[in-house]
Amino acid sequence: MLHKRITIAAISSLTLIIITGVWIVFSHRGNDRPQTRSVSEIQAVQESNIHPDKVDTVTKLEGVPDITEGEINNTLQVRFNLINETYENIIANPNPKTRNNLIISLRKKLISDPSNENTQAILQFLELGLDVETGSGFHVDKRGFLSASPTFRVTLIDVLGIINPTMAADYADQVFATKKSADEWAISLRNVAWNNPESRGVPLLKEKLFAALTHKPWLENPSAGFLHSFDVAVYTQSSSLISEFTAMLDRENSDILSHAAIMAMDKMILDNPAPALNFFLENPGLLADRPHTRAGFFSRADVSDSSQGKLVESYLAQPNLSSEEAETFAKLFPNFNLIMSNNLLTENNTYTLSEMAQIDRASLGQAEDWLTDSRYRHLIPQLEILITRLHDTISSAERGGY
Amino acid sequence: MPNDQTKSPLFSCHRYLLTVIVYFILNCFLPLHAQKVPLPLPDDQIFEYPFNMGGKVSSSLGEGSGTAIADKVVLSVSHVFFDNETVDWRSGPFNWNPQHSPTNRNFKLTARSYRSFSDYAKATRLFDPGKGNTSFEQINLDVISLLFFEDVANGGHAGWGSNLIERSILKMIVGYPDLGYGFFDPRLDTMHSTSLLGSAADFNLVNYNDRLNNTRRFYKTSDLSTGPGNSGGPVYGLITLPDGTTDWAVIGLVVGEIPNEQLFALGIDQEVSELIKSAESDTQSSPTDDHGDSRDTATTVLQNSTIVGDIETTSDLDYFRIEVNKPGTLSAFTTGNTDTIGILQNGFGNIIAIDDESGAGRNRGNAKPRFTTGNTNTFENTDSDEVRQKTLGNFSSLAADPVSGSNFLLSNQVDPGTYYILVSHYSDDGVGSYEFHLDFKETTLLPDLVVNSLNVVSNSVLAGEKLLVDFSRSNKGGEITGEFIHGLYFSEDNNITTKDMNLINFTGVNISTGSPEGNYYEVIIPEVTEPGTYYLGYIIDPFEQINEGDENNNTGYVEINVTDIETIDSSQGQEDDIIIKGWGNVVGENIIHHNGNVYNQVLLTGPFAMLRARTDEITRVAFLDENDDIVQVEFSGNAVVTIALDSNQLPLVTLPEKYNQNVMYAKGRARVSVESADENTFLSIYTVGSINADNKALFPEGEIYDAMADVSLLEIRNSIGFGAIHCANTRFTGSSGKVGIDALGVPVAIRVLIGDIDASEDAVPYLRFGEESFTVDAPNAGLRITGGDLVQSNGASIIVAASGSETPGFNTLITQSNFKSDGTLLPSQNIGIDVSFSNINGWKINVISEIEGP
Repeated sequence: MLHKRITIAAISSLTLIIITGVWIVFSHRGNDRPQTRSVSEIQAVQESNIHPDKVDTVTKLEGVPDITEGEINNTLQVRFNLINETYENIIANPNPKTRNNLIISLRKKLISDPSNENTQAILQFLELGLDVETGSGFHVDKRGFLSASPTFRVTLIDVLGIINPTMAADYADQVFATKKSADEWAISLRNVAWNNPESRGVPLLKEKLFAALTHKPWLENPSAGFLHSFDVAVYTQSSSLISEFTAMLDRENSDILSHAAIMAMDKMILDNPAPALNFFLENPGLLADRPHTRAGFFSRADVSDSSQGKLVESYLAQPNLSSEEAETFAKLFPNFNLIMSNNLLTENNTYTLSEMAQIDRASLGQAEDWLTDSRYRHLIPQLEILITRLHDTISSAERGGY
Repeated sequence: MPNDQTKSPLFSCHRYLLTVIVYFILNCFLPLHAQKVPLPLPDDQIFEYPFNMGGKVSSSLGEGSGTAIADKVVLSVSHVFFDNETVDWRSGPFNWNPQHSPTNRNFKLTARSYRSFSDYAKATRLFDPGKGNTSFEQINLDVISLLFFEDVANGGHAGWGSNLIERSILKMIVGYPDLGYGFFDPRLDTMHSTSLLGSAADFNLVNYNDRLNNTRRFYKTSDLSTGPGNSGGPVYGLITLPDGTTDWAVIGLVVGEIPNEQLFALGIDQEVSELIKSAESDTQSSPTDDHGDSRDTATTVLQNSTIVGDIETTSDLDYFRIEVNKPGTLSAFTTGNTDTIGILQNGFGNIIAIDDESGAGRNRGNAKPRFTTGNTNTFENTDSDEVRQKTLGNFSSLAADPVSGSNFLLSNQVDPGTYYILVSHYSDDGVGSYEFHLDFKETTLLPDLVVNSLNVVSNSVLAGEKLLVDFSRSNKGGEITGEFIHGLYFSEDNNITTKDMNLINFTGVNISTGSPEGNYYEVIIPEVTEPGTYYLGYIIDPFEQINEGDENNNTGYVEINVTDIETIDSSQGQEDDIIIKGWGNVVGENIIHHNGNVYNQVLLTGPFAMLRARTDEITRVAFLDENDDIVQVEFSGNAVVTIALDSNQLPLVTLPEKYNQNVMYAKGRARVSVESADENTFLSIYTVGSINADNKALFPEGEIYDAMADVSLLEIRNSIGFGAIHCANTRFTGSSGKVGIDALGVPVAIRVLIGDIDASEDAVPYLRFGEESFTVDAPNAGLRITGGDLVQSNGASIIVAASGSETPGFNTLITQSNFKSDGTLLPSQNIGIDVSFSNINGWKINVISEIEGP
């Protein structure tokens, strides 16, 4: 009898587990995939939700009579319909080019009129939870706006950030409440930053970026938006996140992560070298297996700034600095090469020729001092390479009038 | 320097003879490729434009071709400098040998730095197919700019243009395919060029949706073959300049080739342009950008000034910085033929306002071509004495809209601080010049009383008769006013002064900035007045008790005709009158709405009005509810409709404080009574909100609205039927008497929509219609509660049936969602157990309710 009860209990438990498992699987799928409704469903929503008074009748809702036909486009209803019609057209047109054109058209109409109606229309559509993939990538233009976005919702969140940063930052809370879309997180992080320019929204941004960078599914299958969110670390000067970035270099199949991580770290150093370089000095194990990358980072230092100069000296004085790493440093320092990209929050730092010439001269003077400093005796061959190169570049600068 | 070299004419002739022979051989023995290969250039041509802008680039990885694209910048391909094996950039040196030839091959300039695209490195890291091959992902952005301290072409550079490669223009490819032709080519290691390529068909656009999910554009052709070493070589296009002359410009560069199959070229597009411009800008002592691209480099402009601007390139942004020391109104706009967009930002870059085309020339239709010619490209160059260059300037005809420029206009109230205005072109590929105007008007700190409006109910009046006047004022200054006098005057001329007959004075107190106040008052026209034209005047602060910022805006007047009894309009009281009796003005007649309906607009000016609708026309009556929403009651068909406002709501007439409108409205909670209606009578009650008003200027920014019409009762009696009642945007509330809809014994044919009903204190809620209601099959038929829950504050049962009857006028009560007139969503509500229904006797009646939609 007892045996029978145990069997029944076991079967019951197994059944419950299966049902629960199936539910989890399906509910999980539902969360991860954009919810796409049919056109007819949308129309039904429209018919029943928006203005029952609009149904056939002699009288219709209308404002005061000082109106023109053309201005009707400014109503919330028309704006909502515009968004919804674009959404439905995208569903109906699988061609990426067509979809992109539809998105571009919608963006222009919404951005050119940053009215409350447009804000409300976007928020109302976002509340519906509808989404569709656009067939485009996650492209950022030089202003930090998206020139292409992978989903319809990301498009709207981007536009919301442009026309109403405050509401966009509010809506970011809803995005951050779940981890459905790394792309939505990325653009919401940007929106939060835009809405908090004074404080740069640093605490919240750091917290959310850390949560994103440690979210395993996003690391395993990084989207373009996820990679772009690394720019938030540059923006917030979060050198403490360097550990997370360097860890990405060691992940399997991490080429795309590695690239984005290196770019983020490089930009952090370009933006504010001292904290990041100091972090590397304090954590000598980081990038130990990537000496050329580390040399490239330290070659960014501007030794005309004494604090950066001291960091470079500490770097070069490291007893375990390999001759190969030192040679790479010697061939690059000071490193003005730039890998350009459009970023969500930060601009590309650039150098003018005048600045390069000035830093070259300071670097040469520093290198000549190092050559006579006993601490760097083991680096004499590399320092000679460096000094020779800098002599050549400075000669070139002088010929060029710098 | 390279172009200082002299050449032996004999040597040159000999070489050229060989060239001809090679050409002949290629044509005879390689007919399939006879027109495809580049041929060595004669020596004298190497030093002519545009060939003299070419050269060879090299790194420890290999060699390629390049072009002097700016004085100190060479354009080439990244793959000569990016090591695919170590997936990293070579550390250098990166060398440039201009006008490379066997006799000057040892000359080189070393680049100080390079700029390339992150996405190229990413693509190589992810999708490098192996040595000697390239992936489409790499092709896309395989471009690099090399920056030098020294001039790379004797102070000159090639002109270049974007988005030109698809054009049907003559093209040629130049470079150093020095390993490509073996014994066929007698002049290895010299500059080569293809013959002139005739049409756009030579290059076919490839839109490639790559594995990074980016749509990329590059070009391929199977009609050409160059060979290793030509990578980075320019694709030149022959451009027609505005003056009708032609010249060569770089329009792309060779990025790869499948030997004897396809050659791939990257056209100069916006991204490549930006790479070039970035290098060009940082290597120039005086950048060509007139106003900075960022807030840091913004041009500071003074208040009330005009400055010329130019969107020089398709990627150009012009930032202007404005320092504001006092609160005021900042107005910025552009004039000119360039289609501009303006963005006002605060000192931190937050967007305050964006405008596209509120300024001059705003009526450009979307379908109107923006460009006056087919040119949509930027072609830039500078002068040089040493090298053949053209001062081509910017010959783009972009944005040269001859009719109107479609300028922006920003006008915003601002506090002291730093502000930026970003001016950009409407079009992603547009350029053009404009004039930027900045006006600032300080908000005066002193109070400034102004006459907002002055109206009379009728311009014709008998001597000795009462005339209803509504008048309003506001304070446009910075401080509150304190106490002041304002009064109405009767004058024989329109110069209203305190010497005119003072009809009545009032005392006003403490009007704060922007707060309008209004009154209505019945003045008595002096009995002794002779018929004629007179003026009713209004003076605020006639005794100048208030020190104002502007003392010249305190007076208003309206013309009136004092008539004798014989001249009074005899049409008054005609049967087709809209206003049967009561207080109201017909302020607009026979207005054709865009849906085709004709309506007559009535303004309620007093406590009640009895109205009717003309045949096939709509009567629309406007007033304010207690929450200051403008309410419209519309009806059509047979009916006498009386709108009565709760008399406790005095002052009765006022300006709509939540709207930008200088119209006096009667204000109060309305009770609407309908008589003599039938099944063709329709009635709506709603508020004017952003969702339905076409004139969005009515709504001050940041204003919050209740956005529901608050009325107490719609009562229908003495009627044989009713068509439909549309009160989805109406909330029936009250603390005494009937609240809701009571159409006892009157069947409603199609539908009744109600926002909500809420009775408090002693009020009794009604939702009563005649039996046999809702018999017409139509969309959204039946009784529908749109967003409300019917919960009664006083817990009363809702009366749905007559005395002794247990049958309500509806079978099912449908609830559904709705939007308020400001767009706020009101979700569907359940009719809960705390809502009860009964007849007038208090007998409980079960009502079936259902939710429709989400």
